[in-house]
Amino acid sequence: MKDPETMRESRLLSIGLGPMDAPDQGWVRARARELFEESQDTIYCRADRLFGVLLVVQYIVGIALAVWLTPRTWIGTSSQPHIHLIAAVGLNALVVVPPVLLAWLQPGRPVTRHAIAIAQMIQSALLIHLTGGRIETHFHVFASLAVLAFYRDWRPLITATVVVAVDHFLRGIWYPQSVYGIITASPYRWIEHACWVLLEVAFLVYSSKQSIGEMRKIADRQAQLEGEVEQRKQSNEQIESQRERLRLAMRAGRLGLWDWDVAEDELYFSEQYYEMLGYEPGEFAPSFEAWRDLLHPEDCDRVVASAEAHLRGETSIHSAETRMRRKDGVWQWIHTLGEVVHRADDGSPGRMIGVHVDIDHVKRAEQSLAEARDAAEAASRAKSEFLATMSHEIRTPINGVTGMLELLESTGPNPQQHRYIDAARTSADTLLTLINDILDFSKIEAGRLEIEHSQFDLEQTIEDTMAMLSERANRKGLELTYSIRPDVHKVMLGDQHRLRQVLLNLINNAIKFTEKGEVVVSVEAAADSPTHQTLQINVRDTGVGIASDRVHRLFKSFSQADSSMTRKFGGSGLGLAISKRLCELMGGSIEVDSVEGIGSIFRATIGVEKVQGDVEAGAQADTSLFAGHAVLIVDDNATTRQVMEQLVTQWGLKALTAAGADEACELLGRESDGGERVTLGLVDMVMPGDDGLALCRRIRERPEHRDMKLILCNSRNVPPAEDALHEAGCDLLLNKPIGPSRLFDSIMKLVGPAVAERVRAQPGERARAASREAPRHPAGGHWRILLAEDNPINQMVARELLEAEGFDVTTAATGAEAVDAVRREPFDLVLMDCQMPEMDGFEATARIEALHASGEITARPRIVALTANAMHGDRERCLEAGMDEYLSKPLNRQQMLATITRLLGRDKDAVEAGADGGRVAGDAPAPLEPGGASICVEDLLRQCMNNGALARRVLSTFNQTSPDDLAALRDAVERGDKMKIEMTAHKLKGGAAQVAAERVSRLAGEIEELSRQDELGFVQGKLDELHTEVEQMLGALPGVIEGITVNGAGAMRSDASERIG
Amino acid sequence: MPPEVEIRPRIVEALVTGFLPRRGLLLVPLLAVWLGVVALGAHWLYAYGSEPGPGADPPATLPAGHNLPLEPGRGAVVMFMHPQCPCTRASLREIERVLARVQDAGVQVVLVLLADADVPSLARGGGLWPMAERLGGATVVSDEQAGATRTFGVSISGHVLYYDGAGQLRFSGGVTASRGHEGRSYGQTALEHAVTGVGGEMAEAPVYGCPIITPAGVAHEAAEAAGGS
Repeated sequence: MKDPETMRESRLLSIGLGPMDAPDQGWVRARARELFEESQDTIYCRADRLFGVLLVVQYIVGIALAVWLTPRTWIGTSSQPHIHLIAAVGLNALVVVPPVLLAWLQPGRPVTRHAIAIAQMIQSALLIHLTGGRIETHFHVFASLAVLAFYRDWRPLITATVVVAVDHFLRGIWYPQSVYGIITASPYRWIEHACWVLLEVAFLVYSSKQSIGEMRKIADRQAQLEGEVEQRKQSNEQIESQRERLRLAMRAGRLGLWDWDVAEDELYFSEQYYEMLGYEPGEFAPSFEAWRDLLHPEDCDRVVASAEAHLRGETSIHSAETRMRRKDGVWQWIHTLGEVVHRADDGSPGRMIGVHVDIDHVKRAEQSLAEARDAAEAASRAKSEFLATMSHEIRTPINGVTGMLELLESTGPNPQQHRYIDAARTSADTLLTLINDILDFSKIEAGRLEIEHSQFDLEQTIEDTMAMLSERANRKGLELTYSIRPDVHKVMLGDQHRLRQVLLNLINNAIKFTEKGEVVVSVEAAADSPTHQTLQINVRDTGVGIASDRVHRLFKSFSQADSSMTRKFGGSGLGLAISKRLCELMGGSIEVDSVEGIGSIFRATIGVEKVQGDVEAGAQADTSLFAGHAVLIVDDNATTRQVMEQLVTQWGLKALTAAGADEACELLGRESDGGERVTLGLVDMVMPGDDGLALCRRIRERPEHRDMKLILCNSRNVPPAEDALHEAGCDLLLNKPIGPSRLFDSIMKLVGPAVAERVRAQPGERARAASREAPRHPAGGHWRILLAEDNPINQMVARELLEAEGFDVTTAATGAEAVDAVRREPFDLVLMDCQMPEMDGFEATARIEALHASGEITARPRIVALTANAMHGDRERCLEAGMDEYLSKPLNRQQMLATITRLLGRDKDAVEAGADGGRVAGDAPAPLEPGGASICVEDLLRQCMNNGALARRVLSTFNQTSPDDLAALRDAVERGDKMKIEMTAHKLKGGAAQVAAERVSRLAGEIEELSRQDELGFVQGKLDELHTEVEQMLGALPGVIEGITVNGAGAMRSDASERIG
Repeated sequence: MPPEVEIRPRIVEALVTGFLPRRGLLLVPLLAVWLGVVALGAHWLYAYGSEPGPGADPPATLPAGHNLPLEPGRGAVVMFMHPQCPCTRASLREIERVLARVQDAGVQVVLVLLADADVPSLARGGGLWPMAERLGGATVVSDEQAGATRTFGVSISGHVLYYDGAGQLRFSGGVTASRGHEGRSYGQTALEHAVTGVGGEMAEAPVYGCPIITPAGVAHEAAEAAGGS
C-alpha cells in the first residue's frame, strides 16, 4: 500500500495541478463524485448496520412474543411447542439471518440493501398475519419503509413495495383473513394497500432524492475546498521549497541576511547570519547596537559611516568590508552589503535589507597571495640581483680586455692591426651587448623593456653590424653583402641598440645555417609618411632552409626549428624570440619564408621616426661630379656585383661589371675602343680562375690603365701580404662587406681631393655652408630666450648653441629664478628643464601661466620642456603641464632649432643654413673610448656644433662637477634618500649625455629609474658600475680635452673609413 | 469514464448498479433460493392458521344427561374451551362481541373449560379462566376430564353450540375466521342469526383452535351419549 504522502503527490500529478494553478474542475468533479460515493457508502453501511440490529431485535421480540402469547399448543391434556413459536424461531431466522449476514459481511452493497428490504417486508407480512390482518400492524410496513429511507436510495424502497404488493396480492387471494382480517376481500384490495404504500414510497423517494442532491452539493463543496486546500498546500510547498532553496543558496554563498526596520528600529538576522558568527539563532538580540558591538573597533566608525551615508541617500548602496567578532572571539572578515528598499515621502529611510558575505577565506587567500607575491618578488629580485652581479662580474674583465686593446692601439699598429683591434673591441662590445640582451630578455618576460628613442644613423648601424660579422662569414666562405634602398631615411629616431640586436641575430643566424653561397641584407622602406617610416630589413641566405611545418616554432623561446639543429649549430633559441618581441616593441614584426634546402628570407619591420631637418632620403646626388668616370666591378658573385653597381650608379659613376678576370679584361679592351674612361676598379679577391691579385697584375700590364685606381675587395680572414698588394698594383684593400659609406669614402680617397670637394659642394652641403644671418625679431632685434637649466654643462652647451644661432639668451638655475626672470622682462621662449632644485619646471610653468592669467605679464612666452627622461609619456606629461613642446636631452641641435623655429615662426631654411655653416671641420672624428668609458667625440662635437672650444669647456666643467655629483649620489644612496638619488642621478645623466658619455649617462639614468621604481636594492650595484665608469672616463679626460682642436676635429683618430661603433 | 458507459441510459445504470450486485452475481440465485424458502415457510404458516379443526357432530337436541347449569326454556350458547389454547383467546373475545350484539335475545351463556386435576396447567382458574370469568352473564363451568365436551360431541377449543329454548341445536362451529384471528367471521353471523332466530336451519362454521380431546374419543363418547341419551 502507498503511503499517504505518495498518494497525495500522485493525486496532485493525476489532476495536473501545476504550481500555483487553479483547481482543475475535472479533478473537482471526480473528487466530488468520489466524496459523494464515500458518503453514500457510509450511509449505506450505517443503515445496513442499523437494519442488521433491527432485524435481530425483531427476531428476538418475535420469539419473545411467541413465548409469551403462544408458547405451546395443546391437544387435550398434552401440549407441544406452538407452531408460532417454531415459526418465530425457525422461519423468522430463515428470514433474518441472510440479510444480517450480508449487513455484517457485505455492508453497503446493493444486494444487502435489497435483502434487508425484503426481510423487513416479510417481517411485516408475518406480523400482519399473526395479528390476523389487524390493521394496526400494517403500520409496520410504513414504519419499515420509513426506516428503509435511511438508505437515501429509492431502489430498496421499490423492492420493499414489490414484496408488500405481491404478499398482499397472493394472501388476498388465498388467505385474505391473514392480511385483511376478513374471510372474503375484494381481489383488488391489494392494489389499495399497494397504492398507500406507493404514496409513502413516493414521498420517501422524493425525500431521498433531495437528500442525495444535498449530499452531492456537500461533496462538490468539499471537493472544491479540498482543491483549494491542495492548491494552497502546493503553494505553501512551493514557497517553502523556494525558502529552502534560498536558505541553502545563502548557506552555500556564505551569506547572512539582515532586515532592518529603520523607522521602528527592529532588526532581523537570519539563522545563517548567526551561524556565520558561530552563534545559535537568536543567541544575541537582533539590534543595531548588538551589530555594532560585534564590529572591530578599527572598522566600526568606517562601516557605520558607510551605512549612515547610504541612509542619508548619499550612496547608492551600503558596502563595506569589516571584521566581526565571532562567538569564540576570533575576528572574521565580513563584507556587508545593503540597500534602503523603502523610503518615506520625506526621504527618510524606512526599511533596509542586506547581506553579510563571509569573505574570510577570500581575505586569507589574499594574504596568502600577497605572501606568495612577496616571495615571488623577492625571488625575482634575487634573480635580478644575480643577473646584475653576473653582468657586472663579466663586464669587469671585458672592460679589461677593451682597455688593453686601447693600450695596444696606442702602440701605433698598422691599418691591418687596427682592424683586428677594432674587431676584437667590437666582439667585446658584442659580448657586453649579449649580456645586456640576457637582461633584456628578463625585462621582456617581465614586460619591463623600454624602447629608447634616440637619433641614429641607419647605414652606420648596418655597416657596423656587417663588419662585426664579416669575419665569420669570410671564414665560411660566404658572400656577405648588404644594400640600402635610396628611399630609406638615413638618420632617424629609434632604438639603435635594439635594431642592431635584431640585425645581429638575423644575420648571425643566416651565417650559422648557411654552408655555402651568400647572405644578403637589404633595407627598404615598407611604408612612409612625412614623420615616420617603416623599415623592412630583409636577410636572405642560401642555407639549409626550414621545413614549413617547423616554421611556427622559430619564434618561440628556447626553441629552434629542429632539435637536431641545436645539436649541430648550437644556440640558446632565445635570439629570434627576443628579436620578434623587440620588433613588436618597435612597432613591427618578423616574418619568414623558407624552402628547405634552398634557403630562407627573414623580413623584419620596425617603425622609426624621421629626424626633422635631416637630408631627405632619396635626394638625388649631384651626378655631375663623376661625369666621364667609369668603375669596373669584378666579382664572381652576382649579388655583390648588383649591389655595387647600384651604389656607384647613384653617385653618377658608370658601372661596368664582370664575373671574372677574363671578362674584365675584355671590357677594358672595349673601353679602349672608345667607351667610358674606367678610372677605378673594384676587384674581388676570390674568384674562379685568376684571383683579384692576378687580375690587378693583368690590368697593370695594360699601359692605358696604369693610372687606374684599383681597390681589392677581400673576403678572406687572412688578407694578402702588403708586398703582394704592392706588387700587384693595388691602391687600397677593403674587407667585405663594403657599405656605401666606406665605399664612397674609399672612392673619394682614391679619386682625389678635387672630386671630394665637388661632392661636398652638392646642394645640401652648399646650403649648410652658406653664410648665416642672425635671426631677427619681427619687431627688430633678437629673439629673447630664457634658458632654465640647473646643470651647468647643459646650460653652457645650450647657451652656446642658441647664441651661435643669434638668439639673445638669459639663464636661470632654478624654477624660481626662471619665474622671476619672466616677471622682470619679456621673453619670446623659455627652455624649461623639468627637474630643477627648489622649484621644478612643471611648477615654474604653472606659475608663469598664473602670471599671464593675472595680467602681471602681458605676453606668455612659449615654453619648451627639457627632460633627460626620454621616456614614453614624458611628452604628454609636459604638454598637460601647459608646456608647448618637448625636447629630450642631450639636446640635438637640429631638433632644438627646428622646434624653436616652429614655435617662433622662424624660417626653417634660415635655421638650416645657419646650423653649422663655417664650422664643418672635415671628416668626422672617430669615437674616443678612454679606458673603456667611451666619450663619443664625434657626438660631442656635433652637439657643440663642431665648436672645439665649446666642447673643451663642456668637458672641463664635467670634469669638475661630476666627482661631486657622484659623491652626492653615493651619499644619497647610503641614506636611502630617494628624492636626492633621483635628482643627483638625473643631473649626472644629463651632464654625461651632454659630453656624449653614453655609458655614464645610461648608468645614471638606470639608477634614476630604479630609484623611481622603489628598487633601491639594485642601485648599489649600478652605482659601483657607474663609479668605475666615471673614474675611468675622468682619468682619460685631460687627454681627450687636449686632443680636441679648436676647430672641432678629434686629434685622436682621423681614419674615418674604419669607424666601428 | 469510457464512452460506452456515457451513452448508456441512466435508468439502466441505476437498475444495474442499484438492483444487481456489482460483483458476485452468485448472490442473485442465492437470493432467489432464499426468497423461495421463505415463501414456502410463510405459506406453511398461513396454511396452519387457516386450517380448521375436524368437524363435529353434536347432538341435535340438548342432551338429557348433560350436567351444565342450563335453565330450561332459554336459548343457550355453550362454548367449549381449552384453557391453555392461545387461539381460543380470540374466540372468547369474539363471542363476547357476539353476545353484546345479541344481548336482547336473553340467551344464557355457558363457558365450558377443560379441567384435569392431574394436569397442573389445566387446573381450575388457570389459563383462560380469568378471561372467561370476566365475560358478563356467562357461567364458567369446569369440564373435568372433558366429560361435557364429550357429551356434546365437540373436540376443538372455541367450538360454540347454540340450543334454542326448545333445546334444538341451531348453531355449531367457531366464531373466528382463522386460527386465533379476531374479526368478523361467518360463524359469528350465523350464531347471531341463530340466537335472534333469523335463520330457521341449523348453521355450522369451521372451528379454529386446539383439540380438547382427540376426534376419535369424541366420536366414541358421542355415540355413547346418543345411545345413552
